[in-house]
Amino acid sequence: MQRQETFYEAVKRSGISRRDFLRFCLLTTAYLGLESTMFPKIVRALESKPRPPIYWLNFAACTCCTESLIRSSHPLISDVILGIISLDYMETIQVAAGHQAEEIVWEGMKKNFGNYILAVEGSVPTKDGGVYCTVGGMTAIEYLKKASQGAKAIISVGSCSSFGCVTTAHPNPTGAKPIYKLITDKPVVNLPGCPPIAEVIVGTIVHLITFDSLPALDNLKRPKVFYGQRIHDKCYRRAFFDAGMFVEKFDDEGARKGWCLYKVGCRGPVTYNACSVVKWNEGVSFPIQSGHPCLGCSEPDYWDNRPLYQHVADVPLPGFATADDIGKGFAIGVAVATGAHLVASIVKKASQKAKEAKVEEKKKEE
Amino acid sequence: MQANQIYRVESECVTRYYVWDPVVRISHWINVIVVGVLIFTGLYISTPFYRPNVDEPFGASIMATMKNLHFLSAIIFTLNGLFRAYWWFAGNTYRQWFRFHIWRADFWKEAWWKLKDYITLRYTDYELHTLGHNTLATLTYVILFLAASVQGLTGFAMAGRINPGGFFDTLFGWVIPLFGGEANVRMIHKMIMWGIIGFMIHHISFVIYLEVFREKGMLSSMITGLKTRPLGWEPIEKPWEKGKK
Repeated sequence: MQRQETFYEAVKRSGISRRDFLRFCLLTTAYLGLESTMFPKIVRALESKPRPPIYWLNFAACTCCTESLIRSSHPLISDVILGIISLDYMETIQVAAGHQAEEIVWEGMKKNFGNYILAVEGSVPTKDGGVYCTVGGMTAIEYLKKASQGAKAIISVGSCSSFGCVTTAHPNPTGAKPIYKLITDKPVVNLPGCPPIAEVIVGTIVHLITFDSLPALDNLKRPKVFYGQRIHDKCYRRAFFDAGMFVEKFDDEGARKGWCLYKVGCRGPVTYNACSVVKWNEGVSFPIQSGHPCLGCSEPDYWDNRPLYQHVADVPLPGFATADDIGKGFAIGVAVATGAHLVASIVKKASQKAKEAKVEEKKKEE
Repeated sequence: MQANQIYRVESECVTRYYVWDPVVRISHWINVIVVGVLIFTGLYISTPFYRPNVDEPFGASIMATMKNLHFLSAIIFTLNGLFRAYWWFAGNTYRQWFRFHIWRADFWKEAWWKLKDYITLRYTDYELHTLGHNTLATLTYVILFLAASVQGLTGFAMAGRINPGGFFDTLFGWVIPLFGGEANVRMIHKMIMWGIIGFMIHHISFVIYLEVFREKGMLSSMITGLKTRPLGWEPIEKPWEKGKK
């Protein structure tokens, strides 16, 4: 078997300087939340360890995850991303097509059996034998099962493959399922987000290469380092939240001054992601910084929690009313019923007393 | 124990029974204050209705104060509830007054009879044997206690997520996947709050009614511990059977 080139060799070949390479390593160390003493370890790993091939499978999804990965404006990051992932198979950007492409993927998988990483974008339709998504003449289920056999780990990139996104939204006509429900015998990492942040994808892969293991995961199989905290808790507008200064409408004074978006439905308080720390497009901005409430795109079933500009707790229950409406209705109902009941009881007792009084009067008269 | 004290009021003679010991009374009034604070701060946290008149966030800390008050009250409420649960078994209430025998048919018959009694305004003149809670009230309070427990669990689970892996998160983290996500947990937390508000409306108006119009000393019993019954009252064991005849 021929020796696979390392990550460093790959980026050097594409014209990236040593300085830029070290900068990338430092950035990634920071993103991963590692100590600075780990920095040399990361450098050494990326210099010496063979670059694991990554096969990027696209199933039922919108390709926004790919866009997120390849569309970073900073030349270093985009080169590095494409460099680090030896994307042997990625439908969106590969040159080969048709039978040629399919040959590449199966041959490559056979050659690197047990070593490659499988990145899956999109959920897998399962209804009616999985006919709603076919790749290269196979249904997505068969494809995934076959491809996952020799995988070292599976990275579910994006909300579709992590928890289910647009594709699994109610009523879910294709019976789409996220990856971790279909593949149970391989380590699966969920990187939810619609799309996930490019640095998060790359950081996870670097962790895999450096330490030969998955990063610490939480109970939803997300890397703790990126999904460990709520957007709310690291939000730069948190001071306005604590002070009680809220945007009431999208065009009011508070919105112009950059106050907290909690009242226009920001889901930062229930959303776990690295947006407010890592930010997007090389740390330029993230939704809340742009004055838009968080939609909670990295949370399970976020499309079903419509409408998106309301807190989920305020979202109408099937059809008619919100939790608050139902609650108020219940409280008012109880108040009315109790009131009516008490009035009726009082009236009844009063009339009884009057009757008794009459009876007594009669007795007296007699 | 001041049971069976005869107490004379202006027009008639009544018997007063010492039902609620100080622990029950104190814990009740702690609950009144704490639940009031919890509902008020909770409503503010869910829909902040007041905005401080400042331009910079360092001038105010309304939401932070509300949240802190909410958490503090929640902790007091929980500890109070836990102690009260212990008191069911240790205090005199359980042994003497508190009968929660859901496995017995009589329990349900009595509850059903009492419910009909309330709804149809029959207000039968004969009294149940129970001085503390009748079985319907018992059932209500047990459901209330369970609701409050769920409220506590969901609340602490959400509070725990402020510091993932911390004390509260380790203890209550399992609640969130149980209810299917933090958003659902929040919704359940809200629904139960409205349920408790509904209970409070009924509870307060009814004790006032029973105090003023039926002269059972319901309201004052939570202050003095004494409940009132007519002089020479005869408790009846199975009133639903008597009603049939």
